[in-house]
Amino acid sequence: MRKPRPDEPSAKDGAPPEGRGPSADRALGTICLALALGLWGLSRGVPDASFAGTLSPRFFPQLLALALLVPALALVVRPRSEALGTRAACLLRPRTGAFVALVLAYGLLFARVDFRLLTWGFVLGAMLALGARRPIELALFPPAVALGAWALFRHGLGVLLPQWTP
Amino acid sequence: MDALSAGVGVLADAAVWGWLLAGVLLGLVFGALPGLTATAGVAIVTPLTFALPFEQSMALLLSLYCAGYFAGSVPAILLNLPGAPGNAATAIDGHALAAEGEADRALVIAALASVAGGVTSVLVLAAAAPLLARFALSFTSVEYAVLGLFGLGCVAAVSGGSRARGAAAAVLGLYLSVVGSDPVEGTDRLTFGVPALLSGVPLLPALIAFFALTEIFARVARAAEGEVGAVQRPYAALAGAGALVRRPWLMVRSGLIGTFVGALPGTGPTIAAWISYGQVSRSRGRTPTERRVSGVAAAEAANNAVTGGALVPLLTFGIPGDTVTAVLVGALLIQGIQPGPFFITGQVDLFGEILVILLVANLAMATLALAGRRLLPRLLAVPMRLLLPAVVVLCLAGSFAGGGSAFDAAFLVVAGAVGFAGLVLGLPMPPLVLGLVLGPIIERNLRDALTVHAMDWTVFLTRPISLVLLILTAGIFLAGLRGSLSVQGRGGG
Repeated sequence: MRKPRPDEPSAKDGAPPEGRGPSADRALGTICLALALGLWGLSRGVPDASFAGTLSPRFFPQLLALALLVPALALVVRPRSEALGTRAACLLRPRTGAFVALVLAYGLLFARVDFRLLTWGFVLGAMLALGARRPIELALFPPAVALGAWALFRHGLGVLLPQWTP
Repeated sequence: MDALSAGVGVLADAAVWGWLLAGVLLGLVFGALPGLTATAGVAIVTPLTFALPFEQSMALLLSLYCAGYFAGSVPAILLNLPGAPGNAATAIDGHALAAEGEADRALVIAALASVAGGVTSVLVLAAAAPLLARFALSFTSVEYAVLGLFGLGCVAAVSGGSRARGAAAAVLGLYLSVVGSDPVEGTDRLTFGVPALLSGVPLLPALIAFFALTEIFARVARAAEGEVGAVQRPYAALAGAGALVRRPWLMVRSGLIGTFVGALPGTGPTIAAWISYGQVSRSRGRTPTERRVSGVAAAEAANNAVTGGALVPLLTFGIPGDTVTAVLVGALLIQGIQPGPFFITGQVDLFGEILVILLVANLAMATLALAGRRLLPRLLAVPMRLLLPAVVVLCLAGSFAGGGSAFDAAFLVVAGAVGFAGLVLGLPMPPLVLGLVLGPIIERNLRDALTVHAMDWTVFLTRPISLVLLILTAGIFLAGLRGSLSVQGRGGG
């Protein structure tokens, strides 16, 4: 049986959600409802117009909050996708979670750690998370990517990437 | 056609040729690898164009664009796994041909049809864009606000398989565009006290996050490595050319469908390919093999014809025609160019360079694809455990290179993770990004329009172009473009 893509569109129009548990549409709709209410509240904190004859800075955010309510309610009331558990199964796979966590760490530490060192560590970790086990790959590929990217950006494009200097 | 002659001089620059060939190769790689799209490729490469002059930047990006749209047909034909949604129609008949031992024929037809569609769209762009630019000069802020809404409505209606999901994504994208200082009064909006957000959400990192990083995460989650079957009976490129010459009406129709669908703001190759494929599926009186050849040709010609068509609204109105041109907005801004009606009328030489580069890129793409078509399947054998980490490194470094900002790198990964979570829930990315890109256009013009017309909202109904666009927006959104999606349902079984 073919694995469902995490980004695959829903089942046929009007078909009931497949699988057990709440549908992904209902979950998405609930999140959007919460966002709409939250953003409406935040928009009220935006100052009103200093002068008449034009829209205030808070108008567009408030309009968008109202606009978001419509599709959110549609998703909650008429969900048309498979169950959330089915779609989210991919997130529960260790390798997906590990890979996403590594990318987050890589990005958040990007400016604080020497690019070459951080990239070597990230690529090594990511390869392990994706199932690489051959010693020669693990030994050669991460430094090759780290040094190759460094050379490309530093010397090819003249971009200063974060580095530790002695 | 004066613009074409004005741009021919760009071909005398060897660096332009170098970047053009590099772009074709990158486009073939990004397009052929499932999970990496032409849009992701353009988004990742765009920050690198900071250091390049205009013509070299366009050579790199436009050639990547053309080649990327074609190259998705390679896994579609060989693995029944489209490299991008725009190649899904190709997979139906292309993979059927491969199953009959005619994979080489399918690849040849796809390459030649792509260039035919691409060249058609360039010629239409050359003829239509100057006329449209003059027409666009009559647009006021009223029309621009509604046009932006129209573009957003188009993409929301066809994305994610559900209008509600598309609309939610579009509104969330508009919300992202609101973050920052108010353009009129300078007050902070939704910055949460983060100084880096005062200038708004960083555009290039957002594009890379939502188009490239989310796809990479989705690829990891799918965890499918492709197994490539051997290309069987060889097929001569000249025979392929002959097959397309014997289908003149099909090629012209497919090229025009792709061009005009691409010219609709916010649409893209998916719709074009399915509409064109749907026309072929109704034809009778051919052998199964000939019908499959026609199916591949129609889908790929329309798919690549979108490249020129999508540049029409971008260059004439400053509104992206598809996801790649949404990224090209950033690339043009890097070069200090504001796309819009004054670009074509005021910078004919640059417009001509774009036309010539796009034309040559299509030809180069076909040449390299035909010459290297036996090598293209090997791209699919590159293990994801090596490719994906390297691509993430390019994403981060490229994003950082744009502004040298730690915030940009952090924003990229956080937005990518949040975008992936949204993708899993079914939130489509194209309307989200189009909302981010079109939001400032819509809001600025909405406020200008109401300021000029003393807060009279009826101006959007009394001005004819605005009224027509509003009716079209409502019609497209309410009816949806389900015709093309229903063809998908019939043909994909």
